[in-house]
Amino acid sequence: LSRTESNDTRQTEVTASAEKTLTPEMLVREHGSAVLGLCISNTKNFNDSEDIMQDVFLQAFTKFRTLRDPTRARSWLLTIARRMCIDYYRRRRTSHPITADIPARPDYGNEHIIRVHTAISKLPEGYREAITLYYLDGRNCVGVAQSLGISEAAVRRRLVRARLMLHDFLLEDKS
Amino acid sequence: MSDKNECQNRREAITALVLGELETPAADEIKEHIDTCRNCRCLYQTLTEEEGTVRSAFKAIDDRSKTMEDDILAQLEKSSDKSFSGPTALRQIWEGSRILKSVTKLAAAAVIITAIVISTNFLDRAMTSVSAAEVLAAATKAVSNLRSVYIKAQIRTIAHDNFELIRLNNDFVPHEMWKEFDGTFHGKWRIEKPGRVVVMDGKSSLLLIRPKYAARGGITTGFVGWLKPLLDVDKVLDSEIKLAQRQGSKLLLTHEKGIDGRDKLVVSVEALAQGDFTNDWLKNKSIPASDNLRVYTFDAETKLLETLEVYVHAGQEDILVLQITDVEYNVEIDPTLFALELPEDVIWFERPTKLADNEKYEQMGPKETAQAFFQACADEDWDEFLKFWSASAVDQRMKDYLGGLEIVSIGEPFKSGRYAGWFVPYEIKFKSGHIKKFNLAVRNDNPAKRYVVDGGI
Repeated sequence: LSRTESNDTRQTEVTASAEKTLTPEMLVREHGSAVLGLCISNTKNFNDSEDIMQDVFLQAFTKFRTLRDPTRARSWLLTIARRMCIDYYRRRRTSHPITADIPARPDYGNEHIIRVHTAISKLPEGYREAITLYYLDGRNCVGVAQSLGISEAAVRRRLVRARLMLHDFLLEDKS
Repeated sequence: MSDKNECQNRREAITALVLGELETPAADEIKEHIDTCRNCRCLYQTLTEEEGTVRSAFKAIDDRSKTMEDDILAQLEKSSDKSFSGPTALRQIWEGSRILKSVTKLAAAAVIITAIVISTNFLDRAMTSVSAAEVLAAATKAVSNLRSVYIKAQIRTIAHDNFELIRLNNDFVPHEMWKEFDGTFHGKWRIEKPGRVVVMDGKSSLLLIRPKYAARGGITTGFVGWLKPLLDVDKVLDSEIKLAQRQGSKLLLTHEKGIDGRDKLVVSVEALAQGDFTNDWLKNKSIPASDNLRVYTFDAETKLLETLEVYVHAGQEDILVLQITDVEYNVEIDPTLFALELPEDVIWFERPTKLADNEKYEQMGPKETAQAFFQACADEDWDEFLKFWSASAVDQRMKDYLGGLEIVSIGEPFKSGRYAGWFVPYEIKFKSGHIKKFNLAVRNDNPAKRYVVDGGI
């Protein structure tokens, strides 16, 4: 086999093995909360985020074959989620303006918790994603670094700044 | 008592300490400081107390996600085949699901992953110019060693018509573009689609409309409108920034993770149609004449352009009209690509020159020109025809197409978009009996100052 052919063969093997090992259950259970968290932080809306979460997994199932490296499943899903949040934004932009606050929903906690979500949604994108994944990933910087494809040090830096900004927003909100 | 500025600098360290993300020596050091500084102690305590609420907020998402996961998996369970392999099963899931909603056409096509646009600073010019300028500086540096570029694209258009033309309802037509950066200002390039090709050999350009119409152009004549700047991959961003400033279009820079795992820089440009569309004949017939979103993706490390998608906002729909599907850098380009072999019986399009009786034609307005042009066709007077059709000859195909037609009506001329000439509405009946209603494009911005037909037949 030529080098290219040999690479192709290896790639096919990896894909085949991903098909065997990755199940929908694994995909949904392992990454569901990260996808939902990212959608909430981007759309500022619980209901729409849940819809988008469903769409993300639907698309993930249909495009599963394009996932070449199963170890990158989370990063892949988050990419799909970001894309869908954009579409959500486009649709919403044409209908009505985005409000600053996240509307409350009882199953997402009390008033204090909603205030935290609202404050998170005000963070810059990179910070918002880092802090969301950090808390949903069992506060593990290594995992977040893999999901975002950045260094662990970069995650730590974003996380600390995000947390500090979050604190400032919460103080502002209180006052 | 500690200095306030010093305490300000310790805020991040205190936050890291609360999060448990500070290494031992630094953690010990900051703890010692907290013991002695009231302000820092206060920050530490507030952050620690707040931490419970923050964690609860994420726990709520986690809990809610479990319910959602159950719902999603339950829907999968209901499908007749829940194996993870076949598109048929997935189609069933897609169509049969009660809760899973369809994905819009745009969502399926979109490559942009710029979650940041949710923030209200989408239209923030300050952010735009600073960020884009940073990328631009890096991008210019990155492409300084470029030798060549090859671009494959597809455009909704007509294969043999102008390169600038787009047609929202047409299928995609494949386009290929090559450019060699040979140190000269213009370089050598070639742009090709099935019905047309343009080459620039570094000194002049040459257009061939297949099978046998050709036109010569100067060093700046492009024949390719909006596509040409794409070949200047080192100036794409620069040109977009300048356009944004000049035309008031909105430009946004975002970072994202590509499907290939690499960091990407995405520049999105929201642009409005340029020109006067009181009469909207030209609206959405070219990218500059449309309200559109242009999404450029650059590799964050190399700063090289990877993809471009152009969506035209047409009513409630966003239609993908142009898509770069492949970009390759520093490929070997066969030098013969920058030359064109023309057919022996080539017919040249030429700039109108003064006629012996030029004054007569100079006095004609757009409407009179349209009338006289079609009358020449009706009379099959091809010498007269060539006074309005600036070519070296008339081929038999044209004669068969227009010869002996009947003029039904000529309407009032109008302007549209940024076209320098006029459009004249007409209705004609061909020899075959077929009736055509369309707009003839005429312009007189030439040395002879007489109107000639520029399109619309």
